[in-house]
Amino acid sequence: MFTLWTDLDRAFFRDPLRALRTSEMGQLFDEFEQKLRRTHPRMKLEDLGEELRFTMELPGVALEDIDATVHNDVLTVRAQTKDRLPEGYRAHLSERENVNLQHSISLPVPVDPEKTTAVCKDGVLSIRLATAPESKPRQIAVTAG
Amino acid sequence: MSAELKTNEGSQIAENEAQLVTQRPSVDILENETEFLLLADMPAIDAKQLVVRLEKETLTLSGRSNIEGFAPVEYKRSFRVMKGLEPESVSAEYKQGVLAVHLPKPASSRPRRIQVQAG
Repeated sequence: MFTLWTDLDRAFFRDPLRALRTSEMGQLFDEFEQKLRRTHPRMKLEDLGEELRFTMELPGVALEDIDATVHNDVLTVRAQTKDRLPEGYRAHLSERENVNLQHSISLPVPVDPEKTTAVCKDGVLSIRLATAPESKPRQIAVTAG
Repeated sequence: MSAELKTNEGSQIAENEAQLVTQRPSVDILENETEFLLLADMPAIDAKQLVVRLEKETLTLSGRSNIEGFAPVEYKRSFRVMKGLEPESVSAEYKQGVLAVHLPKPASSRPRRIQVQAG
């Protein structure tokens, strides 16, 4: 429902263009896609009932380089890396540019900002946001009039 | 019946393969005095499934990324490397979704300090 990149993925980067992608034109596509991934990584927001789960691909980004806030039911994720060249090395090819991005996502239901956890594993950021009690469906007793 | 089943299985596999997106990982190629270091962004890969292969002068990286809810992605990229690299000396580690491949330079191509003697 809230897939952002995956839908785009489906629309542009699948079968219809596969033949094209193996050609020289395909090389251009690959480079474009690589660049796009730096600023628009794949991300997804899922409603799991008790909680919302936000997932974003951020390879090479440490948790301390990520800042996530929830304000007025909007989740904002910022990620910024500093120069990541290991000491003593010189670069021949540098495609892994520094990450400097910010994405804001409207949350479909109110969440409890106190009950939020974030983990970053194998380059994937995963934020779990517990939905606020008032947003949970409540059974209304129907009585005969 | 069994023939029909087989056909169905075949088309199922074909469909799954069609859904698999192949991507070229972004890389940095670095060098210092003793080695080349290749860093590749390949998030969410089971380290056991990562393949780093050095065959003649071709280095190939590949791995399949599986994140719950995302379409699986096959990362694959090949590079031409200098002659004389020893496959046994190549090492790799995987951290924060980044694959780091260390390719030590052959001893013959390392800069050598020449001792200058007083005449």
